[in-house]
Amino acid sequence: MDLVVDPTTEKPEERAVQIEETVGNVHVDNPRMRAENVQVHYGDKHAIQNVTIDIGANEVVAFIGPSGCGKSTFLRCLNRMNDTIDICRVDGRIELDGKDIYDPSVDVVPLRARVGMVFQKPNPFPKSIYDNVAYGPRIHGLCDSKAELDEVVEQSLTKAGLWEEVKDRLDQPGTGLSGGQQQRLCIARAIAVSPEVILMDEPCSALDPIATAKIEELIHELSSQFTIVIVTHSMQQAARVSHRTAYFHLGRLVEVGPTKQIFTSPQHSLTQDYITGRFG
Amino acid sequence: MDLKTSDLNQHISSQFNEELETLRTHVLKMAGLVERNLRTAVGALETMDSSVMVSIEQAEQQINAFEILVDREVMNIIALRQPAAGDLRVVMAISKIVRDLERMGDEAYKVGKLASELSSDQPPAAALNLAASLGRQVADLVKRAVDSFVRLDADEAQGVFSEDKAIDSDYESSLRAMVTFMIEDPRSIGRMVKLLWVFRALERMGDHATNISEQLIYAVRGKDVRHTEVSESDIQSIADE
Repeated sequence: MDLVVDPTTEKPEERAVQIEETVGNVHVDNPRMRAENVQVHYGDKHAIQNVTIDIGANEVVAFIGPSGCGKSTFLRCLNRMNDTIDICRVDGRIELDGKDIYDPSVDVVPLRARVGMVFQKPNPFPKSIYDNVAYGPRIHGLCDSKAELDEVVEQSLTKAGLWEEVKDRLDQPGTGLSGGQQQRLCIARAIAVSPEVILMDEPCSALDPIATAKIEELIHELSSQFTIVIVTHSMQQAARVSHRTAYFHLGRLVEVGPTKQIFTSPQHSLTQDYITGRFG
Repeated sequence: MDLKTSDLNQHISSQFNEELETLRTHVLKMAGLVERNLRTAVGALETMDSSVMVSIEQAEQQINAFEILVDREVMNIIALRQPAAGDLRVVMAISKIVRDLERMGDEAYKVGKLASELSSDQPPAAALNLAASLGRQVADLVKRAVDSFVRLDADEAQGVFSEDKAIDSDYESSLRAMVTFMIEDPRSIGRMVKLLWVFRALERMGDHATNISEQLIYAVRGKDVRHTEVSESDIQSIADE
């Protein structure tokens, strides 16, 4: 049993808490991804400690927790985005459809097509709206003809709820769209390569409430076809969009459970303190 | 993980702490008025003093005003603070508890009014004593339910259930005694019927106290103890209809 002391309090001895194992059922019946005893080190810093969790097919899982708790770090492990950081070391096992994604034989380029990512700040390429969406299918060689590519672009933009707004200006720069539209363009770009899982790292933090509501509605619609993992600082957002919620604290997965249960009757005092805005 | 009273003032937002404290204080004041009205009304059954109705009516007005006030505060907290977990359970429990308190206030008022009417046409002392005795039991039960709310004490709230069963049993035997009184003296039926309404009001108050305890247990433990005969599959089947 480890004793974890919350560094944010002035009297750490009073806030010492015990985190033995993750509270709640970390496993699901139909996992799309499975993480087992995942540890992440940034140099000497032990950023993620022993995280085990399943991500079910076609479910929306929200990762919540205070800044620096490791939720984004763990999210980035799910499509090996941490590979780009030299001092980062990932141990443990992460499977996608039963296959270890950290196996040396795995090529990260197709992996990241299967596990796409949407970032905090919309980051469209400095290309046209059309080319932003067509980029992935082109480099992955998913379309044989221009007509097929047109079809993929239209379908992706439609699924991202953007088609009606941009269909008459597909040749205009993606960067000319509003923030909310740019984020939906990034989602269209991610789904254009038919991923299985979409990772979203605070996708609405730079958006106004209307644009946020559109993205949340989109998440709901996309969940019928994709598995979605979302990191958010907005607990109301986690409550609104996710089926299951996982609470991270100081690099550990403290509690995971159905969102309704986490927001009405959390089992761990740390979860309770965080979602009710208490000291700690 | 039981919720504790200290949990309610540990938020980073001191304003939220104050709002929750104010909400609790108002519920307690409302509960205090209900209990006081009940004890006054029960006292009137013993003394046959109709003059207490003035103070009972005043308190009843305040109880009703508290219901509106607490409802507003609950709405504001939900709209502005979006409470979650234990906070949400407490706020939701309070929104239901005030409804029960308001109904209890109505019943206490009814007991007072009937006692006042009976003062000019008194039933036998033995019958009045039975009613007063049940009234004191109910008042103690209400106090216990309110105390458990003050301390967020789910164990104490649990005790209310068994006590309410005892009250129900006493209510049944009191009704049988009333029937005997009526058979012995058919001319007393008019006033005895009024006394029956008193018993009925007291028994209902016990039920409301039980409701408060159920809500309190939900707020503290997150466990719904209402209608234990209803299974999860019963709930699911009507949800799926």
